[in-house]
Amino acid sequence: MTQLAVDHAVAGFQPAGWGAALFRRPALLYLPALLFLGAFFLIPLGLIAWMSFTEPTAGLGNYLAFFESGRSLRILLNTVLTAAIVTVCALALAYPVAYVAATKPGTYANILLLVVALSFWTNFLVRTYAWMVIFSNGGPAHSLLAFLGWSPPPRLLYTSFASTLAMVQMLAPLMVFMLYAVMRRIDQALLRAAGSLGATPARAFVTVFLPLSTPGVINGVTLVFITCMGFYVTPILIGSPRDMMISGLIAEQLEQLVDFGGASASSVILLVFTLALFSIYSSIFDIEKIWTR
Amino acid sequence: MNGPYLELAGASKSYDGGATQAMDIPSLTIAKGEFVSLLGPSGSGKTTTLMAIAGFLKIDKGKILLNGRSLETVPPHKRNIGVVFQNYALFPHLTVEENVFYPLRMRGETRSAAQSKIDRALDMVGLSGAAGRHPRQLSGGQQQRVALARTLVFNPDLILLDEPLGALDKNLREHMQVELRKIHRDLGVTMIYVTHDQTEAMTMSDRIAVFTNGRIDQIGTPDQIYHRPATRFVASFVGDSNILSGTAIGEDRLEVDGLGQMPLTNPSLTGGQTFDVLIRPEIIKLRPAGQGTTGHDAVIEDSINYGESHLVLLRVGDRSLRARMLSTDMKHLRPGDKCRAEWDPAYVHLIG
Ligand SMILES: Nc1ncnc2c1ncn2[C@@H]1O[C@H](COP(=O)(O)OP(=O)(O)OP(=O)(O)O)[C@@H](O)[C@H]1O
Ligand SMILES: [Mg+2]
Repeated sequence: MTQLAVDHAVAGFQPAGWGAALFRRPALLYLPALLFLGAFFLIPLGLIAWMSFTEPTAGLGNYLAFFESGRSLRILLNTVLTAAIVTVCALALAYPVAYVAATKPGTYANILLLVVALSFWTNFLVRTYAWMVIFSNGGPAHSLLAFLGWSPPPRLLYTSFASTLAMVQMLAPLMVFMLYAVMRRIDQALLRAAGSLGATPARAFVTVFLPLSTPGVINGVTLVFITCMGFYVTPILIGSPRDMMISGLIAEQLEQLVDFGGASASSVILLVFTLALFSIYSSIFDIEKIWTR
Repeated sequence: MNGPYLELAGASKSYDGGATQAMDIPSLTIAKGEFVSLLGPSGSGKTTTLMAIAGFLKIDKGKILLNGRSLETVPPHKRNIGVVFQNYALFPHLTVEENVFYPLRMRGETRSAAQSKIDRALDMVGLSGAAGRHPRQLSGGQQQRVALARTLVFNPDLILLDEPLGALDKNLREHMQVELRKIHRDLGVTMIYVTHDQTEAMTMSDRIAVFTNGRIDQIGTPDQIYHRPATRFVASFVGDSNILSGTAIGEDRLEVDGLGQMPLTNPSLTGGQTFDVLIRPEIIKLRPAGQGTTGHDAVIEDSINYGESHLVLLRVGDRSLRARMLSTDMKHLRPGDKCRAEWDPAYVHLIG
C-alpha cells in the first residue's frame, strides 16, 4: 500500500476540523505546555541572560567580575562541594532503605516507603524550621551533646554542618525514590540464578544487584546534586553566613546590592553548570539502555 | 538403572500456616543420568519441589539427599545444582559470553583458562556466533540456549529445568525438545524437568512424576503413566480418556455404568469390587451399523477433523464416549450415522 492509500484508508475514521488537525499532528498536543513554558519560563530566562550581558553596561563585565572575585569563586566551589557531600551522604543513607523496600516486599517495606514519602511531602520550609528548633541553643541536639558530657556544647545552628545535615535529610527521600524505582524492576530470579551458579549472597549482590541498580544511582545522584546546587532557604536559615551557597549570593546581589546584571550572571553560571552536568548524565544514561531488556 | 542419586524422603512444605500444602512427598528417588519430568497442573507444587531441591526454599519436614549426602545445611551456591529458570534469568548487564563465564568466575577460574569451556558450551547450544551480544539482543529461543549453556558449563551434578520451553512457539519448542534430549544423552547428566505439557513429558522423559495438590500421584515410565495410570486424575490428565465406573460381576466380567456388561481379559476380580474403567479413545473401533453383532450400538454426534485423524464424539446408550479414528477409517461415517463401537478388552485399564 502506498502512503497515499494509507492516508485515505485512515481518513475514513477522521473527525473534521480541530479534531482532524490533532489526529494528523499529535504533536499539537504539546502546544499549550509550550506556550506556557515560553511565556513564563523561556522568555524570562532569555531576559536574565540578556541582562547578564547588558546591565549596567554592555559586555562581559559581569562574568569577568564573577570570575575575578575570590569570594564568588569560593562560593561556587562551596556550592559544588556541599552538593557533592550532600549527594554522597544521601546515597549512603538511601541505598539500604531502597534495597530493603524493593527486595523484601510486604508490610514492612510499605511502612518504610510511607515514612520516606511522608517526610518528602512535608514542606521544605517546615522541615527547615524543624531543624532550626532541633539545632537551636538549648534544643534537643544541643542538650544531647551537653548530656553526653560536652560542655559547653558547640553551637550547632548557623553552621555548615547543620545545613548540610538538613539538606541530606531533605534530599534523601528523593534518592530513595530514584533508587527504588530501578531496584523494583530487578528480577529477584536473577539473584537466585546467581546463587545456583555458585555466587554467595554477597557476591551475587556485588556482581548482579549493584551493577543493575546503577541506573538508579545515576538518576538519584544527578537529581539530588542538581537540586542541592540550587538550594536557598535551608543554607540561608540554618547555614553559616560564611559558607554561602550560590543562591544566597544571587539573593544578596539582588536584594542588598540591587546588582541585576551581577545576579543574572551568577544565575546563568549556575544554569550552565547544571546543564553541563545534565548532559554528562544523559550521555551516561545511554549506556544504561544496553542493560535493560 | 542404578541406585538412588537424588532422594526426597518425607519432604513437605506448606504455606499460610499449613492451609496450603504446596508439597508433600513421602518418597521420590531419581537415578544418576535419568531424565525425569514433573508433570502437573498449575499450582500442583512442581516449582516448589524444584526450588526445595535447589535450596531456595526451606522444607518444613523431611530430607533431601544428593549422592547420599543430606542437603539440609548446604546453601544453594554450594550444591552444584544447575537451574534453568522459566524466564531464563540471564544477567542483562553481561554479554552472552560473560553470562556463560559467570559460574566459572564464581569458582575462581580466570577468563583465559575458562575460554575453551565457554566456547564448548556455546557450541553445544549452537550459539558460538552470539558470544558478544547482550541478552536483550537475542530471541527467546536464543536466550533459552544461553541459559542452558550457562548451566552446562560448570558440570553440575544435577540440572533442574522449570518449564524452560514454556515461552517458545510450537516449532521452536519441538526443536528445543529434541536438542535437550540430545544434550542429555551426550552428557549423561541427571535432569529434572518441570512442565505442564503432557506431550512434552511423554516424548522427553525416562520417567514422569504426575503432581496434583502438592503430591505425586504416580511416577513411572511414559508407557506406564499412559497405559496403566494409577489414579483417575492421572488417567484424565495424561492423554485423552473415557473414564466410566464399573463393578465386577464374577472373575472376568464387569458391569459398566451405562454400557452394560463387558468381558475382561485380566481376571481374578472379586464380585462387587468397584473400579474406574479407562477406555482410551484410540482403542475404540467403529463399524457402520449392520455389520456384525458384537460391540455396542452407537450414534455419531460429532466428528472433529485433525487431518490425519478424527476425534469422534459418540453416544452409546446414555453415555458419551470419545473415539480417535484414523481419517482413512472415517470414509463411510458421518455425524448422525448409527454405527457399532467395539474395543479389545485387553486394552481396557481398571483403576482402583
Ligand atoms: N510464597 C508462597 N506463599 C504462599 N503460597 C505459595 C507460595 N509459593 C507457592 N505457593 C502455593 O503453593 C502451591 C504450589 O505452587 P507451585 O509454584 O509449586 O506450583 P507449580 O506446580 O509450579 O504451578 P505452575 O505450573 O503454575 O508454575 C500453590 O498452591 C501456590 O499457590
Ligand atoms: Mg511453577
